[in-house]
Amino acid sequence: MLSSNQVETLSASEGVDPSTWEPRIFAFLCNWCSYVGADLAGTSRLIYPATVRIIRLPCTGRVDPMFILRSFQRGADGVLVSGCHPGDCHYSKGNFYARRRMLMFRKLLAFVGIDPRRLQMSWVSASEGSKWAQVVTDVTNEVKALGPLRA
Amino acid sequence: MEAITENIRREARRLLQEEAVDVVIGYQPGWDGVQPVPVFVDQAAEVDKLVYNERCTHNLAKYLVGREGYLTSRFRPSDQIVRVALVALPATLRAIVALLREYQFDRADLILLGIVDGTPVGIEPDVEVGRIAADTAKEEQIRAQTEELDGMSLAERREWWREQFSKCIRCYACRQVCPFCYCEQCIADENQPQWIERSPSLWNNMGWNLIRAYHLTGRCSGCGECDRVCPVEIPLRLINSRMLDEVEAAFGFVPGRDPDAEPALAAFQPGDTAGFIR
Repeated sequence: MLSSNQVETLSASEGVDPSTWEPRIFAFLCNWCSYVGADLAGTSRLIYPATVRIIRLPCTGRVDPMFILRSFQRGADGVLVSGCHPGDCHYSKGNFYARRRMLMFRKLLAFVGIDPRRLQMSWVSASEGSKWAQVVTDVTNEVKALGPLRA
Repeated sequence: MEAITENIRREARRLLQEEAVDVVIGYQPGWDGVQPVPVFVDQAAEVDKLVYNERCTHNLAKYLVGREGYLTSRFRPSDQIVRVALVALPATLRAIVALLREYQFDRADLILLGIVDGTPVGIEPDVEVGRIAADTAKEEQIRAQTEELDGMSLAERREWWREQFSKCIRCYACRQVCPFCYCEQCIADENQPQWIERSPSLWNNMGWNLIRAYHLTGRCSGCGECDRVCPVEIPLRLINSRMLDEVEAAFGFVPGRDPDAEPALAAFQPGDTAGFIR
């Protein structure tokens, strides 16, 4: 495994060809809604950009901003946090806490000059396979427009 | 200033003579006679060590909490609780309100010798030993600098902070002075998993400084000690004061102002709005 220093050097030295460059998006999905929604998108044979690397968590309330920073450090150009709609959380209120956290973390990123659009959040329920495909498409386009994230 | 020093000495002498407290935490002149340093007075005969002047800025709440804190130490049996009197500046008082809200200790364990400046603080000091003017000059300076940063584009701001964070030598002085950094095991010291790598590279420094800023969001009392102790002069105060403003704007919460209010990031409202969510 590469240390983050090596990753940093690699990403700084690798020439990016804008015509072929595809963003890398790390997606933190809650086990109960968005992960199942993404699964549904797959079983429904929906087509969406192959830019997301999905990481399954029990709840969006488990998303520590450390995960997000670490993702950026390890080569993510964008991070997508997705969970149950408000009121549908399997643990009643995890997504409410996550909402406040992501809001504040975006403000912090913006203040130090990292475009807050690199951190996206969505509510995708287990039945919303098509919404998942749409969200990934939109997020990919947005991050693509921002270009690669450098240290 | 002399009057405040006199008041502190008088109250400290009284408390120690009456055996109402075991230790008084305050300030004493430093080795150079200019910069004061914290002092722990446990005998009435030694209260004349205590001083107060405008250079007394240390947030003494730090000594109450954490693994070795006077009120939370795990190295001391619970029947040997030390009773503490603390010389508390406005920011120290705000920090104590927030620490009480985080259930770090009981209000009754502590006697506060408060120095107030008229800014709202959600706690009554047991004894008011002095009144000082609010430090509006420093506030103005922070506001001006923040506005300057806000005027920049994202890329310029990134470059500005990149320069700041690349100076960081990871001495963790900011953590060591902060009363809110009382975790028994700091995330920066963990290595299984190692979330924050130790070598002072730019990304690692950003990781450390941003996570610390985030951990203080909705808690920071604005004492500015992290900024003061930083040996490479990273303007940490700018980030913390900005996050204070953001929390107030989004949730109407100001740490240290209302002892009953839930800390902003430990609470939620079902109707919270966050326009960015898809």
